[in-house]
Amino acid sequence: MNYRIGACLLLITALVAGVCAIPPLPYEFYGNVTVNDTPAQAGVVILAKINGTEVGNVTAAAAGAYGGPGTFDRRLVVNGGEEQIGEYITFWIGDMQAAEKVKLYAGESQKLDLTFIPGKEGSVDKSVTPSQSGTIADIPTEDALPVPTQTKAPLLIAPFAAGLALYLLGRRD
Amino acid sequence: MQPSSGFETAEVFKSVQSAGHSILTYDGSSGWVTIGKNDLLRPMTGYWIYSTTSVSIPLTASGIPTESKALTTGWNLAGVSGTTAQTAELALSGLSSWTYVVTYDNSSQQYRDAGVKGAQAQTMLAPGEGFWIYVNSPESLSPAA
Repeated sequence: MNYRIGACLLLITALVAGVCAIPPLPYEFYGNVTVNDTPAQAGVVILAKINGTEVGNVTAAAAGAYGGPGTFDRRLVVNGGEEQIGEYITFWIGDMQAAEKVKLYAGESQKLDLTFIPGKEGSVDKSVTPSQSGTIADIPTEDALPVPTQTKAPLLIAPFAAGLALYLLGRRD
Repeated sequence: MQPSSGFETAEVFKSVQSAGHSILTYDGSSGWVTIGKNDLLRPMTGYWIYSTTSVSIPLTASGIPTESKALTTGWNLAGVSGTTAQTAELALSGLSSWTYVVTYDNSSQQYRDAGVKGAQAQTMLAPGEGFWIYVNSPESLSPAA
């Protein structure tokens, strides 16, 4: 019995490591803050959370206010991932949640007055229309990348293994 | 270039009308960093500045930077030194593991198409213009002579 074993070639394709998106610009907040209609105390820490995870915080420098509109004012800076764009940011002082909630977008800055009133948690949507969509980059997928090296190399083991298998099958006949 | 005396801190941007946006840079380890007015401006580092109007900020620089720019694995916000624009392939020839560069067109308020190492289309990197660079391992971007 004659068997022909074709030549085997192995195409070795260089693998390109996965690349994350460019980090989206943070979302900044400043404004007034009241607890039960009373200005919050200076020094109180306001937390921003997405799905229960802290994504930023700021300390109120003065009673009833946090941050400011000046370039160098300290604001509540929310750093979210690209996958969190469009999800709601909630605002907290300790275990108290503010009535206001805002959808995360990249690169926005918003004056947001926060009110902490029991029973009103997360009931007021203060989301804005995103204006900084140009700060989301379009990175080529791995499929679109040039392949740095592509090598054709003979696979030595396969012909021997295939030949051995065929030899054994031939002996069974 | 190395900022000259009197132009070393972010206070040079105090006249920018930023509409409540901070001046930002990006650290590969800690993420976005808010810049204070007394923070030093570092050569070969990219800064994001939002301005409601077109504005010119006079900056004076002298000499080549004295330090290299450390790049961490992943995305970094960087810049090139020197006085002339160069292709990314040339400007980044000292780096072995970069794969992407992305620049921002402030006139259209959009990122330009990403530059890919080894691709035919060349991305130009200009002094004074920050860019994103992705590296696969820690590297050091040296100042051009």
